[in-house]
Amino acid sequence: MILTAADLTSDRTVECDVCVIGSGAGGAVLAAGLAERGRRVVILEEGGHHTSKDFRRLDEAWSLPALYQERGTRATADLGITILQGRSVGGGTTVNWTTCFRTPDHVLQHWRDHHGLTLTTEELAPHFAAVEERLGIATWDQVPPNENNATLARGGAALGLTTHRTRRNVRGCANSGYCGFGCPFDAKQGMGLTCVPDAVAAGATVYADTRAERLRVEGGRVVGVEARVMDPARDRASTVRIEVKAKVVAVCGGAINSPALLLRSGLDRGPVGRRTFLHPVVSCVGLYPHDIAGWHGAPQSVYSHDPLAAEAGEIGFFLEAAPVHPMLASVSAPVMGPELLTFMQDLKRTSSLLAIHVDGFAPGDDGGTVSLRKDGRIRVDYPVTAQLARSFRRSHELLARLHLAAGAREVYTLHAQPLRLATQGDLARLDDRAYGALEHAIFTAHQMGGCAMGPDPATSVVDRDLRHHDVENLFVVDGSVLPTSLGVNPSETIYGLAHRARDAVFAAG
Amino acid sequence: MNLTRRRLLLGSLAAAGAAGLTLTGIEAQGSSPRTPRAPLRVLSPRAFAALAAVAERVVPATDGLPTPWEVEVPERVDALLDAMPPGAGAELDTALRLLESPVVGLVFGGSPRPFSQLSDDAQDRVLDAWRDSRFATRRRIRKALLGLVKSAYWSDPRVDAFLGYARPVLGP
Repeated sequence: MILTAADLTSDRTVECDVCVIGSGAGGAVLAAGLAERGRRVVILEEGGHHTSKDFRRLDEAWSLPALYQERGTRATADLGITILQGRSVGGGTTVNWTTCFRTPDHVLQHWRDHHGLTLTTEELAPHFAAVEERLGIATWDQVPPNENNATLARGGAALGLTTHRTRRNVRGCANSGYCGFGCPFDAKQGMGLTCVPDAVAAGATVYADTRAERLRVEGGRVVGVEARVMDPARDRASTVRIEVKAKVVAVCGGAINSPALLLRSGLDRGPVGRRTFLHPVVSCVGLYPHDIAGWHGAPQSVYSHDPLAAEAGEIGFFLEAAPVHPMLASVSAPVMGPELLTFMQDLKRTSSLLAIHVDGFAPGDDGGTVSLRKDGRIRVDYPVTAQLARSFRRSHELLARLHLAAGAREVYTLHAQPLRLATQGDLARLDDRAYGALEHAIFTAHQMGGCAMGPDPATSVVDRDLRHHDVENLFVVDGSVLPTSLGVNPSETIYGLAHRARDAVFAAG
Repeated sequence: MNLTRRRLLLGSLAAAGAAGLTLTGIEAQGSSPRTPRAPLRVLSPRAFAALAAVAERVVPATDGLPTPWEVEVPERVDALLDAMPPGAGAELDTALRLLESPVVGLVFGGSPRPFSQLSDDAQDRVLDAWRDSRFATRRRIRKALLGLVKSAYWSDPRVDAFLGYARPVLGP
């Protein structure tokens, strides 16, 4: 059963075995596994319940406010980084671009070497296999990449970079290009279409439009979850209260909301909200002599990890493409007036390639922080260090070279005063611009860290089973538990970790 | 002293407001500011006027496109702010009232008028100066304003033809 604000008009107290807070990549996989084993599961989801009937609007003006955090306006406190993060039943998986990777071996090795975390590829493999089966995760090469992704393949080949086709969680993809608005064809195997219904079929109850405000902790145990029903029209908490009494609580709100919930609950010991990683993204767009129509087709179908091998002590990056829909594209270009009109009129001939920076690995790269403002709103700070700015400069050059090698007539940087580069000889002009927050567009679509897993309570929040170090019946199961970023899109790692966590949470309840 | 963004904004607003009073006597009459077509939910009328003027500089009138006023950009932004935490709307209102102060017009646009009553060129000078400002607060305000205006404008289906943006036709 899925209840929404329309159903939740009066205060109530709910009892269950496990309360799962959040219905995204972590919460839904966990909830389904527990419900299927007979646990009484309640899922609290702050966002609304929307389906493909809603998504068929194909309307950015509806989808950004309805399906993303803070009505699509979430950003770091200095507005330097735009934070794209989903929020609805299904969480970020409702709007992500479906690219899936298992956790890379070298990342697990780094965690063993530097964070004392003994997870292995072999230990995680059966969990990845299980979610790949359920979510249809497979290499997507039945049709050619769209032209926006083909520029990455073509430019990469010309520059000697290795590119690959992505793996995606889709079944019967119509190649429409609207993944980021919610799949209108029910082809994307997001949580709203898979594990949430699995959980409900096994008896779980979903409280949508319901924000968990505080965990009540007494004597080292969570004794209740205080929640408020939201007014969906104004996205504010109503006066209707939901109290959940559960034997076990799993916080699965993602790498920004989960640490914020712990902080609101007074669980601030240890590095809660620290080492938050964003995979900061920069883009250069290529203006081509032919139509790209970057809004059409699977948003991401080609990638390259070659640039990951950064110079010692520097921050590496990897390459993917981004869909080019008008609203997000217009916001990406920090220009106005006639220059904006020219940019938008060229949109159908524009290809957008991304450099996604792999934070948390280089010495001294501690990412950002999540904290609470005085009025209770969440604050995200992410300093762009000199180290990261150097990486931005390098990635801008590689993106520009890629576009030119792929046949772009001009490359356009997303600086406050953009550069237009027409030849390889123009690349030196990249030194004419500064790199960092508010100097050019920076985005994140991958939020990680803030409640890191590890053996040491001084440097981590949960243990390798994702159990809170101090609160025995509290688990955190989402991207916040990652000790670093991943260097790959994080959804499958979260699916796999949640699948693995089912045993420990089941045993605790 | 830890100078927060909000304190800086409020301080600047107070100073600008005080100076604006002294300038009233020399302020020339400019073009009429835009007034709301419906009751505002979050923004003050002054902030609304400034936002409407910003929108018309971000997307200047051109053949084949509706104007931001026709797309009701200021009202859309006001509605979006109404669905966000109250603090966010209050901050933007403060920022827009700062932009609308005659002192800002004088310092950055060369004329002691509210932003909404400056000439197009003077408005562009103000926004360009804030883009290039060494003060991050001004750059932040400009970025926020441009983002909100562009989000509200370029998501309207009436701009699709200009863009060549073809949405698939789906059944119910």
